[in-house]
Amino acid sequence: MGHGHDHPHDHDHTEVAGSWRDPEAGDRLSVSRRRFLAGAVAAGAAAGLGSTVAGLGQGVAAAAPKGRPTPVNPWTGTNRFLAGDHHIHTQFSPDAQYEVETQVSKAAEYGLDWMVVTDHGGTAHQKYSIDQVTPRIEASREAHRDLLVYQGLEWNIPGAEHATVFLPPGANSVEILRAFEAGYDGSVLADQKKVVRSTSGDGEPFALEALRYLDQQVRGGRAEIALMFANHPARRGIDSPHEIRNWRDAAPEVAVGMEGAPGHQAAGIPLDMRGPGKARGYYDFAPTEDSFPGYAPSATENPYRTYGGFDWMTAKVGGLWDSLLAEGRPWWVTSTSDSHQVWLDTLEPGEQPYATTGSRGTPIDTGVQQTGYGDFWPGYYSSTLVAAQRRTYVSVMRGLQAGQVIAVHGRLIEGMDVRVRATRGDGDARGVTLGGRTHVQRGGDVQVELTIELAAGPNAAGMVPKLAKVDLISGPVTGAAADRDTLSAPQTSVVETFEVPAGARKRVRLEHTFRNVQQSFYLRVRGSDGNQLDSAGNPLIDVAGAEDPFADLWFYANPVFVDVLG
Amino acid sequence: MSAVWQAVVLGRALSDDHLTAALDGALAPRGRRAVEVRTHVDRSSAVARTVVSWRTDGHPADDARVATDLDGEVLGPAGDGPPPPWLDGSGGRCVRFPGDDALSGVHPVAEIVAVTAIDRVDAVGGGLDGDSPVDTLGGWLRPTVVDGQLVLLVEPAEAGRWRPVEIRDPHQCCGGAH
Repeated sequence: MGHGHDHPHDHDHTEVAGSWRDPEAGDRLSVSRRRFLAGAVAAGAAAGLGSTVAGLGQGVAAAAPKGRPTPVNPWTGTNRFLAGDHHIHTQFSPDAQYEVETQVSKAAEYGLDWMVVTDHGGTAHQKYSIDQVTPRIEASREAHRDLLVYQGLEWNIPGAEHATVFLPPGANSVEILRAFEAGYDGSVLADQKKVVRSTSGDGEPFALEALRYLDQQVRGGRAEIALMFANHPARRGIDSPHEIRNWRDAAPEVAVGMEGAPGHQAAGIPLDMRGPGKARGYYDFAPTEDSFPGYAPSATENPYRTYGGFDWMTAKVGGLWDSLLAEGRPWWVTSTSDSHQVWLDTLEPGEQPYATTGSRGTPIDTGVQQTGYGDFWPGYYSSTLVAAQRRTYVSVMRGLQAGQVIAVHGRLIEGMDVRVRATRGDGDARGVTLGGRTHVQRGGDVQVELTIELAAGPNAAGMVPKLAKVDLISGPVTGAAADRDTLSAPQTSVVETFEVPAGARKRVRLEHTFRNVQQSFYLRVRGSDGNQLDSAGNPLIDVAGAEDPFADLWFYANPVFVDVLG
Repeated sequence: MSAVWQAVVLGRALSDDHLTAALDGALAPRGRRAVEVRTHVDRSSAVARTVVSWRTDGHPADDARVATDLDGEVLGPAGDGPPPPWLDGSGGRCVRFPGDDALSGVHPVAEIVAVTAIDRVDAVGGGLDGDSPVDTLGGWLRPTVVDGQLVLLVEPAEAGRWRPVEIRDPHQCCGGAH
């Protein structure tokens, strides 16, 4: 197996730490030069001169001396997590309302280090909104030097759900986004009668073409990196398993993951708590004509609902996400706000006609708290923690691409150092971290060490969350699924549940050893406040109008793959 | 009551309300009313299509004309030969069915089964009995055909109640444009 991965990603070294500026990103010459230099480093590593290449991220290790794979995401113990959100709307979406600067200020207020502005794709957005949002994003970058503000798009994936698409600032970034939206947004294609509906199956080839287009922008040196995350993937049942596999395989360095937890987490707050009384995440759909029939609600489960605030694809042990990981391929999960209209905010959309101007205009203050709004401000509840080598645009994206990512709700944890290494038998003794790939000789032992940073202070609801349980989940890597619509991994299970002592302060260290390992496998970690669990320790289905999101907190960390050699 | 089902493929997406209104409008001039209406999804080609089936309270109406009024394509009368699987097997979704107008509030499972054509109420996660209260959310129920039976799937709701998995007004992002 192989992804045609032709360059490593450790080429952020020309950037100035602490600055939002990334002047060389998007500069054709500098990208080429850095790629050349990085290639030389990789060649040196392969020749046994060192093994400093980090962040390869795509889970396929290059051949190394003595037939050993090169570990991916080698453990350093020095990773620092940066909190962010890749799914935020503004007045340049037809169903949202805020100024860009408002969302950026709130993101900063609630502690985010990076954020992506993702207004909905569409004909009016492509024609009118891009030129309005671009200077506002640039102005907010100037005003908030500590916050990375990416310009992105919430892409209507042809034939499927929405997705975040974004690039780092660069000479070509806005034009790439503009061309991408014009050529490949499902809503634009539907308006042009190139597809029957934005979500109809005839759009699937366009989606793959779109992802290859982004990949080509990177390979051609017009952009340093471009990423896509599928948003609210199970909400309407229209992201079929084969579509997700096809996206990943069409552009594995671009299509890297999905929202493990959707936004709109305030939507399930009960009416008597002045909430909207709707389904958490607005996950209240049933199958429609573009839904994948394998996602049918049943007496056993309802894929169209969230479980503990997380999308069913992620929340179900042995479910869709695990079926992707069991193939031995990367696919990462995140957590975002999808902030359109914030619970108890007093603003309502401006009166500008969106279809002809691409903007709702300046929001209007009603002076009345709106109990029907179902979202939180960026950073208020949902965080995507990324281990980045530097606080730069490209570095954060490399961290996301490499899967060094933890999806967290309500500040349940601040971060987690994960080290997975061979402790008995010939193997990778240094080990790897989140999103990585390590190896051990058949019959050896593999140790997992987790150092979890507990909440260092109150979350936005004013409470210090208590981590109560941590599950280590694992399953064998069984290779590419013969059926591309495979949606389960029956051999994946919780292998150990750790109880976190009630008195734990600052950090907890947990350990597990896989002994006498005979088969390649992967592992991942989730944790919760322990408030809402079933008898097997799994999250409960969320009940419409009965979900205080701060009383049901989870985190999900991305996997580590372990190859068994010999 | 006519036992003959008629069916057309819809040429455009219609909400249930529009669908039944259009069907009633098309049948009324012919002196007919659809007493049962079901939909199912035809996924035999790349673009899935919704098929609407109905049976009337009299002889079948001229389905070609009805199809025109519905902006659809005639799939044909389903009266000859074995019934299509979405009617007697599995996969159909009931938009109009006997007794569907009898309920509008919170009703126990046993009453729902007693006064409507619904054969069974199932719950996501189980835990339902005949006394379990189901909030019909204004009486908007969409049972599905499972092995020839009409099954209403419900899930936990607030205040110890249950509610249908399919509801009339799920949250539409972008006003449903996307």
